[in-house]
Amino acid sequence: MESRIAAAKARANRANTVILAAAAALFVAAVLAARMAHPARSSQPAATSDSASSSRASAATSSDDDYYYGESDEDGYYGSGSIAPSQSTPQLSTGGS
Amino acid sequence: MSVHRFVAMGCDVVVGGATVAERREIERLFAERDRMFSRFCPDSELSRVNRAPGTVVKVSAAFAEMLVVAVRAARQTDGLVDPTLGAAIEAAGYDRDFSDLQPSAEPAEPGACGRWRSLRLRRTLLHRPHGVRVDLNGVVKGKTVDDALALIDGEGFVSAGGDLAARGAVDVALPGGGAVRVLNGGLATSSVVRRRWLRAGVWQHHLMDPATGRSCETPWREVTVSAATCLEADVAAKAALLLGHDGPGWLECRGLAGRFLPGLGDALSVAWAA
Repeated sequence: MESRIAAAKARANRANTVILAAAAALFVAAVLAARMAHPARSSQPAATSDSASSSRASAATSSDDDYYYGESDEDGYYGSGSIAPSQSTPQLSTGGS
Repeated sequence: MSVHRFVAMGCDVVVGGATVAERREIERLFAERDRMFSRFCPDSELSRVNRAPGTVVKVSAAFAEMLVVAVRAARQTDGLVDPTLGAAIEAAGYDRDFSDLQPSAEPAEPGACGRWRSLRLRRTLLHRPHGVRVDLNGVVKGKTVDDALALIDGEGFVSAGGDLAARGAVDVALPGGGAVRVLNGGLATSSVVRRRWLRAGVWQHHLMDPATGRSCETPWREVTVSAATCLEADVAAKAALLLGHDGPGWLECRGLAGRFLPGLGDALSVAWAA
């Protein structure tokens, strides 16, 4: 009789452990999902400084690019235009913006 | 080459080489962008975004696309061309259409510094902290000029307020004299003497220093840059002007040709073929 009670207790303990582990895993998953879904999510500390000097100094991370700003492979790239000495009366003028 | 002119975004737009249908499309594009990104029209999407009470606001796909362009420009210039200076430029007094600005005895208020890194965009959900006012007009005109040129099938050009993109040769007069032939790509000029206004006897202009939130101080009156597109030329011209004496070196590092017109003295050229 006692052995049956002990076996039942052991089964109940195992069930409790499984339930607790599952609840903990669900909680962690829910926290992670909420963080991913939040629009203000940042993989690095959010910029809080008002000074542009700090924003000038800090560089963007690739995770920022992927998540918020779209592709980044063009960053830092400038293509040069094609110009030559003027050969006739200008049709346009630049300047003013 | 046929030339067509109209007014949009508060400036003269000149289109060359476009068919009648292409001109119509280009005018429609400028009008659409003007309606969406005007700081002075209360119905524009930009005004609606800046009025939204919360920190998260839903924007249109077109607005989100322009925001990505603006943030990329900020990153490419290490924050010099910053899309969060809307409050600063208003504090400096540029709070209505330029033609309506009058000299004022009130001094310019200190403005908020640039905070482009505080912007978060996920698809069409924009998050910005309280107090940050977005202004995408540092890139809207240049991008619109490039998009308008893409609507022209053959050779042609589009110029808005003197910032232009061309496919095929076009001769362009430069500030301070001289001219250059643009064979292909963009040409843009940033100036602190054209679009300026008086506050308490002090000249203010629209090129805001993101570090101070005030009109920038620079030794250059005007900077002209040639680049692959009008957008790139415009962004680079603004950055080079804001960088002051470091501007020519900054352009040189990026292989861009530029012409710097100082407050006093002769023009300085960087890789300028003209």
